Amino acid sequence: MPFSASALDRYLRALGDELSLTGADARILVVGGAALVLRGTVDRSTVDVDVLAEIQGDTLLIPRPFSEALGQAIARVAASFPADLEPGWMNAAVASVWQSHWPARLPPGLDAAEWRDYGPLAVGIAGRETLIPMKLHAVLDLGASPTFDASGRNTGATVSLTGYDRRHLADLVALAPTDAELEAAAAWVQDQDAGDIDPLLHAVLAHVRSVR
Amino acid sequence: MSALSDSPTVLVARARQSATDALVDVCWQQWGRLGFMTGDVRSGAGDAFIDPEALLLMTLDAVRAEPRLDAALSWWAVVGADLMSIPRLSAIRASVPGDLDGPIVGFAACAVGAGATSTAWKRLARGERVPPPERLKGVSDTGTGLTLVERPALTRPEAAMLRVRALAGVGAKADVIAFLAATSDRSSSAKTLQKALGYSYVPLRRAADDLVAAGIACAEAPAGRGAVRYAFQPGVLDLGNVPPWRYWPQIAAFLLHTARWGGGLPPGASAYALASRARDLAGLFEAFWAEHPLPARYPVAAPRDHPGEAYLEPFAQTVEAVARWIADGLPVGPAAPSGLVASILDEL
Repeated sequence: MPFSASALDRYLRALGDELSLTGADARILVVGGAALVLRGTVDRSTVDVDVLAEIQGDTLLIPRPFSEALGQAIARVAASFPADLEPGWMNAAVASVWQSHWPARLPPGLDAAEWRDYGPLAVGIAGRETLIPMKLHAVLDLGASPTFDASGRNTGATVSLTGYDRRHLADLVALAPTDAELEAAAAWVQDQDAGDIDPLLHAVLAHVRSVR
Repeated sequence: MSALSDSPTVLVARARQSATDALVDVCWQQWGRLGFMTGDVRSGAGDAFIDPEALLLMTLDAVRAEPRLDAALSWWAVVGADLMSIPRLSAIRASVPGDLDGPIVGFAACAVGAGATSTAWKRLARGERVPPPERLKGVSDTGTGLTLVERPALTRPEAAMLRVRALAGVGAKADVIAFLAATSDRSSSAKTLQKALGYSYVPLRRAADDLVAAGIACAEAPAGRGAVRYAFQPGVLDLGNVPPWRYWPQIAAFLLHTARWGGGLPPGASAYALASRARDLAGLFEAFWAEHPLPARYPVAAPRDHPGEAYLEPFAQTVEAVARWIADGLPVGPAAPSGLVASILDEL
């Protein structure tokens, strides 16, 4: 079930409480729709919390799996709100593309995250410098459903997505990226993907520029 | 006072107190039924079945809140220790929380000091031996000269389990008879016997088969591959109007867990944290309440219906409902000795 910013705040407090019951602590870096919702960038609900990394000391860890205490706490919060939360309400699917190693270039701007404390849980909410390239990457991530259809090719002004989650594109537009931000994001995305994404990338950039 | 206005701390205190009060009350009432300070106890339709091992464990815990129960323990060590099943005591002990090992050793030492013959008590006492209080000396010989402290009232229907043990010896066979008598309105499989009595499956099955052979129980084998079911054979053993079986070990575990609810949490723990612990506790007994539902007027709240901290209040109400259910199943009368009897107890 989708949850709002206030509901998300409640679940994160619950997660902090669960950790405090076990004497554990955790630091996580949140991206995706949850980060946008928490920052108030978009006025919509989200269905999950994407965790890009778990931070231990100065080390950024790919949270697949989560540390034991955090994983158990996430499950216990889900059990406490059975009608509202799926067991995977907080997940690290967003980091799945990296399996066990970070890419040569991490998403930019991670050090500019806004941190909020929920007792022993520290939540870093990624800023636009991180979210714009990651959203752009998500829009172009066609692996599961290569049905991207660019209409209005003559002008490159409009883009439609079929068979694909439109929210990533809507989120990207909602972030109203500047030309400089889009260029920086495109450069990072091109670093990540080995395939030929230029046609799609240009179509998306054109679309965002036209509607932002 | 409206329960809705209660703070999380007050709710926890309320539930813990309800559990402790219920525990103390049931101990007084059941020891009274067995003959300890019998003045205020009356028979009635609401009389509850007595499970001696569960009662002992509940009392060993409740005595911390109600020290006068120590007199009942001393009395039982003298008059009832040889009627106790120590294997069953150990089996039930494993399911209840709290540090009862020391109190069990203490009770065993009293039992040995009072002349209990079982070697199991001697092992449990770890070489210790505590002589009985002066007032109780001699009761194990003839029982004469004692007005307040008497031999256990084994002929009462609610004491059926102890009565059959006195007749047939302490063991699975006696307890199967008592269980079947207390569930005479239905038949039970050996697995049900195991859940209720805590013995291993094979001895229970063997005991039940022996009782069938002796004509004390009857068996029915359902068509197909269903398990053999056993039932009390009416008209062979007259144990009186034995009250319905109660799953006291499980109820004791619920009360003892609840009396400790929230213990060990950091000061100022949030309502969510307290509710989360309550959810854990409820989870331990969810299957039990589902299998043995209370009457509708004693509502047991389902955690899934009350997300997050919203479960705090329904859980406290559930504890109070269980406490009421326990109290309603007991005879009407004072919860604890009062007046002259209380002052005598204080001296013991």
